[in-house]
Amino acid sequence: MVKMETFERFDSLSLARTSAKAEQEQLPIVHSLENLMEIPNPPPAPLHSMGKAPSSTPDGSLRIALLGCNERSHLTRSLLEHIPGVEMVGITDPRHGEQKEIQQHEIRCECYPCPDTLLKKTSPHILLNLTSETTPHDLPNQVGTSDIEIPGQHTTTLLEKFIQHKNGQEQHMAEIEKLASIGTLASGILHDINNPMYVILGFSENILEEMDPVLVHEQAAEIFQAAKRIITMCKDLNLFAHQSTPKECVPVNLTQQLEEAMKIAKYALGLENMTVVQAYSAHPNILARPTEIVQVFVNLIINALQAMDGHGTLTLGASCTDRIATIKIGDTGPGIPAEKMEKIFEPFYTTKPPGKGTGLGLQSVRSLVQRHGGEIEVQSTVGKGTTFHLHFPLLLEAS
Amino acid sequence: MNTTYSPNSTHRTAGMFSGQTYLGGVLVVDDEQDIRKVVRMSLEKLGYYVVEAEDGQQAMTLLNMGEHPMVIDVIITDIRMPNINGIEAMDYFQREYPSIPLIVLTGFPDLDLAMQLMKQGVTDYLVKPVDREKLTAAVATALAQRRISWF
Repeated sequence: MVKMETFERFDSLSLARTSAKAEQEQLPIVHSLENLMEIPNPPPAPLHSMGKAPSSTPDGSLRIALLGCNERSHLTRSLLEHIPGVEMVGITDPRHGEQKEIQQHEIRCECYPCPDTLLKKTSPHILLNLTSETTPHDLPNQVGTSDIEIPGQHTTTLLEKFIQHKNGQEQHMAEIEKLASIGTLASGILHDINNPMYVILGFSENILEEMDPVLVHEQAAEIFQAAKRIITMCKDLNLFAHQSTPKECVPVNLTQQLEEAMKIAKYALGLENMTVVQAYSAHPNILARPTEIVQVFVNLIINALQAMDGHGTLTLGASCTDRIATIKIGDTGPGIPAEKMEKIFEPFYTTKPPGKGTGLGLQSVRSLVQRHGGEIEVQSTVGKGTTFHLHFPLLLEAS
Repeated sequence: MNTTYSPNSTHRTAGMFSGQTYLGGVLVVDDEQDIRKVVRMSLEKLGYYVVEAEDGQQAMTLLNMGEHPMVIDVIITDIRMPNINGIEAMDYFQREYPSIPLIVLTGFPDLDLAMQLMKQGVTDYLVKPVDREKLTAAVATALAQRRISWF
């Protein structure tokens, strides 16, 4: 088995907390958006900015409301809601009325019949006009003197394009990382498929010359079992290799996904001398894309197994509070030195030898977690091990 | 054909297998029982005497026991195994029993590792699935090496 270098030793306690909210703190609105879109040079101030620039909320989130309920606004809303620090507060929908609950379920955002009600109820920082009208006829006059910013048509279009571009890039990165993970898994998969293949080949060769029906039957049974092993493996891997469906969020059970990830990760490295502790105090559900969640778990489990180099304890935990579901993936490896802790989420940063890591792993993991409205936290003690805590918004039974 | 091993047996002749020529003793080390069974059945048909071990630790114990060092002519070992893996076990065999030839039978088609092990004196590096002809040819070659080392 190929030995993989992991993290180096160091003698301090390190705690890196990556919070989407923390990144957005104390930033004026325009700069917050630029930060989110990673635009190197800020664009000019919005042409239709009305009144003074409002500040973001104390927790750093930016409240955005949309005018217009159409395909364009649905796409923008679905992409905006995945951006950390952005809160979608409402949308105008002229159909508002009897079917309000159905609409809200479909749109997954509070609906209001007209801009006036929307503004009064939601107090957004930014109002994005996604209707076909340059200036909506029912926009209240007092907006001009309020703190609400309304970007012009071109700025809005530019913003939409940025969001779509960024989203496309993230999906592309996630796909690259998935391919890289499959590369890491390849040798393990080969091993686990070659073994039953050998059983099939060897026994079938024997059967061709075997005259004793009892021995023929015995060997045929072995062939059958080996073929079933290969089928089970293919089923396990199918979930991981299958093209993800990024737009659809469905209720997902986190511990179930953790188990799926374990089935896949075990192909990467042998678990022969490894102790696996499953400490599930809850089996929380969240709203998520299952393939992305499995990808996050597979990455973190493979990292943990590689860090332990074949010997140690892998701890998988699940718990939840009223609103937050937490997954814990811990190893008893060498731990992460404090000076490296800052870098582990940077793209292309890796401690693995060339060809063994893309450096996209944790960056991709963080990005996927944030796209699900979650946070990732790392706790590491040099010489004792590292634990990743993933916090997701809990899917409440009522919703 | 079922072969029962007796540690007290001192026979290394054709009489050990009724009606068959005795070709030599082979220790098969693999953590998967069905893999050991395939190798055993393939080799026994031809007249080899086969002893099985499920990991490196058991292989060492077996080899050190009774007359095994004299009975075992070739060792076929997997690499990924619990407790003591194939690499560690081969280090031990080469140190303690340098005249017994080693064949690797693994699921990993790793060229670098194969080259490294061959340089260290491993007779062959076979990747599963391997057909019987190739396996028996590798065992025969290893056995010929073992015979040469006696002189």
